[in-house]
Amino acid sequence: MSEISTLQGQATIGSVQWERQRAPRAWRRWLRGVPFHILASAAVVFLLGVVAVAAPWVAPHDPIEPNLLARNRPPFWMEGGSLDHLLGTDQVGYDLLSRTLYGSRPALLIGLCAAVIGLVLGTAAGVLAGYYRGLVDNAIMMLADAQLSSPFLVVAIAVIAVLGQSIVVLLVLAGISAWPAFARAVRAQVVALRDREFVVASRALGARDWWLLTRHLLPNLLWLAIVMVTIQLRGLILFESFLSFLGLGVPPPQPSWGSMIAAGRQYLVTSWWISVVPGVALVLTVVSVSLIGDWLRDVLDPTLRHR
Amino acid sequence: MVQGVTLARRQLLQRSLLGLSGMAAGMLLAACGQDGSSGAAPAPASSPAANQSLGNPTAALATPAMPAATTVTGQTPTGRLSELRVALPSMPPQLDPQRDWWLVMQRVYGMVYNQLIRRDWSRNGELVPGLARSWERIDETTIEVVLRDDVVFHDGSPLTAEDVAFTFERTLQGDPELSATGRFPIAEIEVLDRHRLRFVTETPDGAFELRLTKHEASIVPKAYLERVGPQRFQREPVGTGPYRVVEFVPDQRIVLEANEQYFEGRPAADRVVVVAIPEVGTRVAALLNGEIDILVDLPPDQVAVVEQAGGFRVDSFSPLNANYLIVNGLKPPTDKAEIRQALSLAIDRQAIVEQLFGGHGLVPGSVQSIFDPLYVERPPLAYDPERARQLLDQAGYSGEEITFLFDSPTYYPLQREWVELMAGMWRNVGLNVTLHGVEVSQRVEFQRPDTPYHLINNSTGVEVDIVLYKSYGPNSLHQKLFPAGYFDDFNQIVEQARVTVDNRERARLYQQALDIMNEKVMVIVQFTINRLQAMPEKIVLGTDPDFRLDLSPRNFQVRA
Amino acid sequence: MLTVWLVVTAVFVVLRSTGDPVRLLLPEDAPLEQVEALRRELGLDRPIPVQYLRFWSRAISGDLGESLRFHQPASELVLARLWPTAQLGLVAFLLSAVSGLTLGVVTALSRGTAFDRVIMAAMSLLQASPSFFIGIVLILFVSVRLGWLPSSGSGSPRHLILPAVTVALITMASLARLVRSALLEVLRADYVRTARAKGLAEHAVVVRHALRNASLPVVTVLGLELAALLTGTVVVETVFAWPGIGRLAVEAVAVRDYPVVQAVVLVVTIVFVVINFAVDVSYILLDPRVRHV
Repeated sequence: MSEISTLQGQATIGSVQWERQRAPRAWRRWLRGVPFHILASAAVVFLLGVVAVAAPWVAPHDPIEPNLLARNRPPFWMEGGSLDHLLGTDQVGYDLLSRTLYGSRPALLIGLCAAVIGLVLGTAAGVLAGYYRGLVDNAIMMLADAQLSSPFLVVAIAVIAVLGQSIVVLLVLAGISAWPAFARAVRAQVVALRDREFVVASRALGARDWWLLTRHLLPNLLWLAIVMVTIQLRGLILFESFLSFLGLGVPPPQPSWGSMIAAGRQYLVTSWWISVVPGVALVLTVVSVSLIGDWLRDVLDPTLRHR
Repeated sequence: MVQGVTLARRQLLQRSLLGLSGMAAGMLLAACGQDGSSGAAPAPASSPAANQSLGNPTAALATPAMPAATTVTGQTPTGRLSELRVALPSMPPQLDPQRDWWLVMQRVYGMVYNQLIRRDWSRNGELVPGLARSWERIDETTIEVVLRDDVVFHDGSPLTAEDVAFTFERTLQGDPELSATGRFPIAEIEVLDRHRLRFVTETPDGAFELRLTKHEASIVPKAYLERVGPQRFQREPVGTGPYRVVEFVPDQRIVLEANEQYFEGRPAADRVVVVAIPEVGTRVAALLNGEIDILVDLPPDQVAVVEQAGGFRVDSFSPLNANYLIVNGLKPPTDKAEIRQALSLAIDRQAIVEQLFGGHGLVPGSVQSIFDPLYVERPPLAYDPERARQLLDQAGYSGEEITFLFDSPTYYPLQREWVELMAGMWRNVGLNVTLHGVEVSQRVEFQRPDTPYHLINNSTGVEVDIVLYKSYGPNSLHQKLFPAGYFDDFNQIVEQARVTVDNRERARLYQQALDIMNEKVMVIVQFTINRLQAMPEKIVLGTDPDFRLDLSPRNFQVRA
Repeated sequence: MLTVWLVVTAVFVVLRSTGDPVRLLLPEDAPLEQVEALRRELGLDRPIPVQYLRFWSRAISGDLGESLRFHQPASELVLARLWPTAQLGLVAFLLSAVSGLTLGVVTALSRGTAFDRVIMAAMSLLQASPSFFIGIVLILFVSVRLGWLPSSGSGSPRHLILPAVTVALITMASLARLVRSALLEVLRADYVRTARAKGLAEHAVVVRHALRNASLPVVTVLGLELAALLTGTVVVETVFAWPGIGRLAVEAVAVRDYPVVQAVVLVVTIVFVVINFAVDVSYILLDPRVRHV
């Protein structure tokens, strides 16, 4: 849960830092001098996408086909391991490699959906608040604060209790958990932008609000959203793992990294690989994505770019 | 120890179950219906002939392979502990035995209270005197109980017939907050003198003695309870048991002190501290670390971890509890008997018990437990995927969705795993079962006649006397999930059995009822999962299939 | 205050829209009349708006209802559990604040060195690990393998160390990364260059100019972290059997112990609001620009 707050916290940082920023103009400069670790991270994320799509063809076994006779098998390099189950099997006899590959799907889905929902809700709210200020601003920001001040995990548990475990509920919850952070960051950005010369100029030329929003503000917000997503993904994936720990995550038998790590925690002494294999996948993904996020922010941050 | 384990494993393969306590030999003796545990510490004098106890239909009817729970042998119990620390998965929120009896509370009830009659698990669960010195059936509906005259409550007041009458009268007043309400079919309680009373049942009730052994029959002190009121009693309970509660911090700890005047002798530890450690890994770590002395509900797959550490004993015993699936016989496709049979036949219960539970469980032949006083052996429920496929063809099944509601988070160890395994087995014969995990409160909410689900996981107590009429009878949810009249034959039999006092006859009738239940697949019985408790080797604690932590000196000893 | 009202109302509605504690309080085969009778007795048979009004009219006089599970006032239960969580949260907060700041400053100053890289990689790893995983690994290693500390429970400062460290590790990781980047940014700012140009000693530059200016975003996060630590230790509390408010809340939701859930949410939200206020105040103290607005 502290992770969740961190996610909100970082978002706030986002807003603090973004407040003084101008629109990025040099997308082309990106490719020049991209550091190696960013390329590597990008490769990992790309691979993840490929695996998520191609899991049925890549995975050596059916991820939901338990095998009672092959439980708790270690990875192939250990004694008792075999090439049939390269990364071993878990306590039900599922093939860990296959499940880890399939597990990339909920991870990506949660990231994407939360991004989309958070983006749409958060941007709408943030733009409205930042652009119109006044009452609208107060109302929206109070809602955002209310959510940030609530023990969201408790609310999430209650919601899952009401609606039952399902991946859709999880996705929507993840999205909702993300919106206040988006809204805050976007609002700050809009406030900064609305008084900028090009917006003021447009308005002076008689541009309508809607036109201003879509033409000038939104494009400027897009990159902010991308960065926000990379920052939030970690919290969202971990959010799923907490719910799995409490038995409320992705419904079985579909695999998710969070539920796999949670299920394997009882076997750390006897069969450590059950939670370590999906754990490595999770760490790789999260670290890659946040490295890219940090880098994007650095690159896009005009205060840093001019140096 | 090692030998005990191997022996037990072998036994398990023969579809019986055993304690792992390394006393396999003793248990086998006990299993043969003899008194295997020679000289169990201060055993109450054998019941006088006047006691028409349930007789021992078990010994008569059950096969010699009848397994038994771990029992405490009469080794010199010279050792003492100043403090015994017990870890439960969660804390009892209150301690009034007539109020609720969730499993966690039952553990503590076993330290604080006694019942009139108890089941001696060292002797196959035979009914033996508890607070009662003897009991006698005067006629079909009247039972006379004579109390021991040397029992005092923790507050110093002596146990009298008034207390007993008060205890049962509590359950007759229709108080909806007391779970025990309606549990005893008593028409009248007559106090004869200070230590004698008579129960008159509404109808002849052959199971009355068994009912008197259950938790809700724990005797509470009338004067004290009336003085402090039920609210305070929940946290400052007074009973007759080996330990009295001295501190109750909700959800954190319960501290108990030895009852020096306990009628079965001085308990082996001066203090008991009960704490809750919800996370299994932590609970095991605390045991290995010496932070706790008794670990309750060790999941079967953690046995290896504990054994690897060395110096610990793991007792595995079959509880009076079975896991089963509620079946919706109204909603297609499970309205067809063939489909229900196929669902049952497709489950390789033996493989799950052996592989997933490491042998710590058994495949029953019906919902009845092997520890039911009226137990009659039946072949274990069959696994026959071929036949299941045939039945599906016959029924013209073509992949209609069957929805299965189960608990998540789960209460039973490895439940999520076995649910996934079953789903895989169903897939194998062509059944399309989808899993829906919900929290237990939500699951209970869906247990209603118009439930949208086909299968719902559940568990139950398993003495036919107690459950067949009440939980599976004419007014039960299970029957409301089937067309009216579908179980008329079953109902006729259980109605008759209910008022039959003769044990043999009742046992016979109930077997007929179980046949019908199995044949029509009223529910899908899964398996009985053993309960495991772990402790340092110097502590000897007999197991109790009825979920008590019985800390009386005859059951709990410390080796010097 | 409006925030408190919003949150409590939302939880009230969500919780009551389904699930019924009564069925769990009674045996499964309890007759329907008994279920109905108990429902009446607990006032759960009334329409939700009526229950809602009743809740607030009582809450104003400090009565948050009686726990259905423990049969005692919910406010007592929550207050009893607030202190352990606060203890855990505050200790973890201090640990993470000190270590996070230190690591952040040190790595920022040694930017690009192997030391910086290793620490930052470790921080990334920590940040990506679920707290229950860290907790269990700590128990296995520190308490079972080394036998240094008790694995669970409460009652002595020794019991507090492992859960506090678990919570602190993750917060520390995000804090260290944050401090590092905030500081790096400030160090490039003009006034820092000016300060350097003036010939100020490097440590004076860092302490007097850079740190102070980097502190704004850090305070925001610290505030949020503190609030989260007070409530969000659900998982860690479960792993270490720590009798805190988070575990109470989760267990209460599971059995639909409405009064307890509501009491937890109410108390926690108030704490959050107070902390947010404190953060706003510290802004004003730290940032002269805000003061003039």
